[in-house]
Amino acid sequence: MALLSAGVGAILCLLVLAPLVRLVAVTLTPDGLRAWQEVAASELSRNLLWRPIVNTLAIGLAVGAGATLLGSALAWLVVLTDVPGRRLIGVLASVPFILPSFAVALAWEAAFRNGRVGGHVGLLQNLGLAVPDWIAWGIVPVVATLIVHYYSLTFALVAAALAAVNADLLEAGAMTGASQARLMGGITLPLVLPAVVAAALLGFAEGVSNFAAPAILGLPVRFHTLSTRLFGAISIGQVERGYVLSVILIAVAGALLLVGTRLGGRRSFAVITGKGSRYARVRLGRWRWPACGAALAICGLTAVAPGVTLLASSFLHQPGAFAGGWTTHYWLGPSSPEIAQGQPGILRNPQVLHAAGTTLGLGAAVAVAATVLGVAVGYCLARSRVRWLTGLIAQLSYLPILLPGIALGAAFIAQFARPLGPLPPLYGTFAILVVAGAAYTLPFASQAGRAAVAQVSTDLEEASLMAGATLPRRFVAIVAPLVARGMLAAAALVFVKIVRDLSLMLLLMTPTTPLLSVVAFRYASEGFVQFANAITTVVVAISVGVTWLARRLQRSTQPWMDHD
Amino acid sequence: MTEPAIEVRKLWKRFGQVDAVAGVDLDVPPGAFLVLLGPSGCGKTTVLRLLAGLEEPTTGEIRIGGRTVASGAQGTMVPPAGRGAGLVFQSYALWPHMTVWGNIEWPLKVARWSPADRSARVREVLSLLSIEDLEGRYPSEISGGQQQRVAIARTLAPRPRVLLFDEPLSNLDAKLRVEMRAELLRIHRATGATSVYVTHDQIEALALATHVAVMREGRIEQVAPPADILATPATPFVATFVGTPPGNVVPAVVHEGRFWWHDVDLAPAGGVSEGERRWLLYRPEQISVCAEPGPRRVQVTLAEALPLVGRTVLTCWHGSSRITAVVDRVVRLDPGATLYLGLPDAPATSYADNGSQAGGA
Repeated sequence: MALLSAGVGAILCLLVLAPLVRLVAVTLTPDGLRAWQEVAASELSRNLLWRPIVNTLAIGLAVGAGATLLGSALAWLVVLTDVPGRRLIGVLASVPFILPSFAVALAWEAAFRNGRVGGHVGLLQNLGLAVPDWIAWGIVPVVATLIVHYYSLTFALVAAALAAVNADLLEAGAMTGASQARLMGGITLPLVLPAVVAAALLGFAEGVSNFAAPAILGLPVRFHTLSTRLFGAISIGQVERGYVLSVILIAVAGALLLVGTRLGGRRSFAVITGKGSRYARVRLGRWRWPACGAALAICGLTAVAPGVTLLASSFLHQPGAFAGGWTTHYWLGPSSPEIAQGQPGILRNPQVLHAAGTTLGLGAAVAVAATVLGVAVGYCLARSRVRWLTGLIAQLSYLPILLPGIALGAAFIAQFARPLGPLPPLYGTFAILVVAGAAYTLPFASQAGRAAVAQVSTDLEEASLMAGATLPRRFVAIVAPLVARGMLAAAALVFVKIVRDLSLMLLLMTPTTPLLSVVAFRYASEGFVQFANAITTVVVAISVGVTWLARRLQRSTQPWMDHD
Repeated sequence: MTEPAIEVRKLWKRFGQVDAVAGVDLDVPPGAFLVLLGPSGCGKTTVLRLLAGLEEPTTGEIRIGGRTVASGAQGTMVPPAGRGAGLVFQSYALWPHMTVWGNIEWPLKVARWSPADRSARVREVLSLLSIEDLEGRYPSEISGGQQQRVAIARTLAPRPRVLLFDEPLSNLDAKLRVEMRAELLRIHRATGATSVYVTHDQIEALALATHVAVMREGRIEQVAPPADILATPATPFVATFVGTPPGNVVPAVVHEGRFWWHDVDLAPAGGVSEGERRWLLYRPEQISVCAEPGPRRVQVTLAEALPLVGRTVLTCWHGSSRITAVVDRVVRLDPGATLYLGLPDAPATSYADNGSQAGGA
């Protein structure tokens, strides 16, 4: 047992701690210190750091507030009121978070792009509507698309908290004759306040960390955030500047997430199933149907519209223009010099197919690695008695949640671009993507592992110990089968996280290991919108499909526990 | 007779396809302590929630203090707070983010009591429940028994005319339960509020009630003072549900003017005609234990012999029928022994209908 814990601890140090330490260490070398000076105290600072940081914080604040308001209101409607179509609203509201965040940004671009930066324009402009710059570019669309993405997360958190409120507490309030508003202010809100605050801080931190939305909707008009500046610095070879910006980004996002998760407890972002509470739901009266309409409109626009827009625009001959007619070229067409500089449709493009293979392979490899590691972490935390070691494992397995993907990617370059002891430099290999992916998804996988192992009572193991089984034998014969189905669902969700990821892989990927999301991003930045949208549609379909499967699995995780 | 404090008329409550409450009629006199007693799922908690106003009746009518508070026919539905009733929840339902003081005071704030009145009243109920020391604590910082007292104090504070209790003692250990029973009786005497109390525990019911209503499958089988329920159970179900140990109900068929149970000749059938069925009640204490067969003696196999305050409760099997007997001495018998139970000359009572009662005998 001690050996297992020590092994897990060592792996976590290598996976999580070492890259971070290395990242900070590089910024403390002479080159690194010069980079600090350039970033924070030179004539470049204004453009490199101060304006991006103001933009970043503004986005964070707006996303935190907007996502929390929208998500909490929907959660209240679904969990506590008699609004019609609650189930549908609940299902739709959990979709946007499953979509890759670049999907929503690309969909926004497909709809609202105007002529400001040249090139093609979006659907609305093509239909003759003049889209003002502030809707097409910069902070407003960035914030809007991020709210679309993250309200889904706050919805899940707040709905879980509301559903966990004992119905008796609200009935005891109702018995006093308090009005609905009074009940909400006096009882419901205080009870779920920790979850609401945690959700707001998460929204803030996610808004601060996000790369895809500002990259797609901000970069073309030189609207920068910390993450786009970081990406820019590293991609033009100013690595130390990139590392310095990574450290700053981690400090900003990490600090907030730390506060948020402390406040909210380590709640899983589990699906909300409508538990049959006996509490009489709040009667909305004549507001029932308007509320239903508004909620469905919001959910439809955020859950369904992005996918439909992307799919439709991938079939348009000219980007964003119905007038140009429809074509399947961007999916199936052979290479032709007249269209898209001779690029064939994505299903015929060997590069894209290669990327699809790598992406699915990477998703599967990370899913396996993270799941195995997650169960090992869960098992150590549940059974090991070496206090300091379990403390270390708990902290390290949780740490990556504080790290923005793009900064973690930078840390992995800092660590693995050179040989590490007997290991050859991993940069440019498939292995570094797997290792980084495993580190990135570790908090989720360990949480799932903890939950799964917690279901296995110590008695069961002790019974096999009485029968004389050794630790490996117990693990294989007793623990593994009992955690298997729960972890299968977790593995599927890890797979989705990796397949739709852009920010972590963007810096780590090289042409030998292309990935769908990065290829889509490249196509989008080069103006080949239909290709980008077609690939993104595929990623969306995989994400939604596999998540749906995983949730079905989660529901039937323990068939022997169904009857209670 | 004075007007009942609570009147229930033809009350029905349907959840989907299930009739949780199926035609309940009930009159509770002012100041009474009515206990709704029945096995789990019999609808007793639903009746309580209907009285509280937390559920709306499908049909039927509820009047509290002469005022109609819920009526399926007229569509009247007075909200919970308008009924002058307070409910003590099984889970206590203390608001975890408020102190003991805050929990008790909040309902008074909602009812717009003045700060001075509130403060005086909170002090009063704290002292009534002997929990003055706890006023600054949060629910998570006090024991289960103390939480129970706070829950009762909170319910009493707005001076409800009717007190409703939903299995309030089920989360306490045996010793505290006895203590709280005495406490509840004291509070009932002190407040004089008409009380309705739900439980599945007949000891609780018999100890607390001025009136017991035995419920089964959404209906009330009998309402009577505890002693009457024990002395003259109105239905075979009541006879086999209440009592320690409960009574034995034997299905008998009339043959040549006598009641027969299988091959045992029980008693003269009186006027009951040939081939008809009756259900005969034999109390455990009327049954004697014999070593030899004889008239009105039933051959049984002993399942268990439980010594109880100088007596012995014998549980026996006659085929698939269970019979319980009490003998006034401590007997030493091994389970599995063959015995003969001697039935008295006549049953305590007989029932024409067993109301689809399957068990009992």
